[in-house]
Amino acid sequence: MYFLQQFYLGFSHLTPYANPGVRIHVSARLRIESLQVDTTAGYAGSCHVLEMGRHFSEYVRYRGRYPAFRSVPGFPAGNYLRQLDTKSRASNVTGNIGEIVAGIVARRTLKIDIGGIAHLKANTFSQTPDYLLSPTTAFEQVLVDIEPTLASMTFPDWWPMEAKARAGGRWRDVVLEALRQLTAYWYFNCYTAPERVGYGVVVATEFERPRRVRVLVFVPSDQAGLVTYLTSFSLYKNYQDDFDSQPGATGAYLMNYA
Amino acid sequence: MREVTLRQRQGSGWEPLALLGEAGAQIEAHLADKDAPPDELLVTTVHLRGVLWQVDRREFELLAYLVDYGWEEALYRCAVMAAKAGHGTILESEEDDITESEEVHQGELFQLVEHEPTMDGGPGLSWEEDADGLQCVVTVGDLGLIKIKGTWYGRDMPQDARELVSRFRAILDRIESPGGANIDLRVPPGESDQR
Repeated sequence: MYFLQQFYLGFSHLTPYANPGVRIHVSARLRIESLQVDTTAGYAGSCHVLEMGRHFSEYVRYRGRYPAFRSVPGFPAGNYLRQLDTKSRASNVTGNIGEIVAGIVARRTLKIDIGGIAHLKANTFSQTPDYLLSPTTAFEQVLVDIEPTLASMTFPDWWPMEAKARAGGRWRDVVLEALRQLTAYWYFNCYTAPERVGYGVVVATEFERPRRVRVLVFVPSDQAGLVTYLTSFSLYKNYQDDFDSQPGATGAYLMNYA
Repeated sequence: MREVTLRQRQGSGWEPLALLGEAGAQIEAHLADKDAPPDELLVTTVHLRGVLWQVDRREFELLAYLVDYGWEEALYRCAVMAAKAGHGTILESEEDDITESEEVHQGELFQLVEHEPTMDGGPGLSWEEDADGLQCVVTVGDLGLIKIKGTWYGRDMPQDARELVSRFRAILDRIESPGGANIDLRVPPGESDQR
């Protein structure tokens, strides 16, 4: 089965017409088979889930195949309680599928070396992206070919990547959730490695037809300003609250946020 | 692991297929830095390393990975040759279930001027082959990973785990070296390194 693949710089969708580099480097469709998922799950995907290929088929390929529960006679009527009528996707497994797709995108589309894709351990005190990517020359060339103005940037030594997978819904909200993970990485680097602030990748997968993979690359439009803004919060929690209430305040320092 | 070693020393108590089942737990322990999987279940080549697992009574799988990332491109080329060398049946892509009429509505993606949207099918492939009583589905996938699922279909199970290991090893060896001296490639000229 395949996914439509779209490339974004910030929240701006770059098309092959406006950005010819997209035509060269980003295939319009990404074919991902269940057997490939089953095999790739041997590395990509932070949860240890067996038979990921079967889950991929059940969760993504088919629709309406979830086992149904029998209706229990006399179940109390009311607005609060409703009997569950079918089983549903497990969020961890869905998340694992998103991470596998992101791993595939990192290798195929972004040209990251196999050995440069590192899963990250989740923190208890902060958000954490799913992966840290060691950029390759090919990756940086892909970015510059797609958006030549990026050639003037000094890219960082590591890029965080966050994967999200959803059935559907408002994709921008999903990406904002992912961006929250990236901002945590930026916050905790703003003193020790400010050159990493503002750079990151989000891979957002949608299961509902038409299935889609959105690859969003974030780069700073004003890195020094973003670093200053982040350092104005003495506690991560305060910054997190700020991002939750007004993400645009951070976004103002990112390219194509609006 | 200690128990396995003890059984091996005792000789009479070693039941190879049971050993495979136990090895699963031992491999998990290995991942937690406690023990190593038994050498009998490790299959290594120059560029690949794999471990055999028992999935069910008749189902086994070899999970293998690249130990030399520099060999990644060669792996995908060799996999195509290995599939042909093993007289395997290369599996077709899963049927697409997004109809063209649905795509017509994806104007933002596929404007009318783009008649043939590009497709990235990935570098890997899957094939089926019969390894002398073990029906295998071999998948070489993204990130240089390999999974060989084998189902033993004979009436009697093999009496020695090594009978299974050798079948998986033969496939991995063929992927490593599809042009090996003992391999009859039967690949028409010009097709050996192209999909």
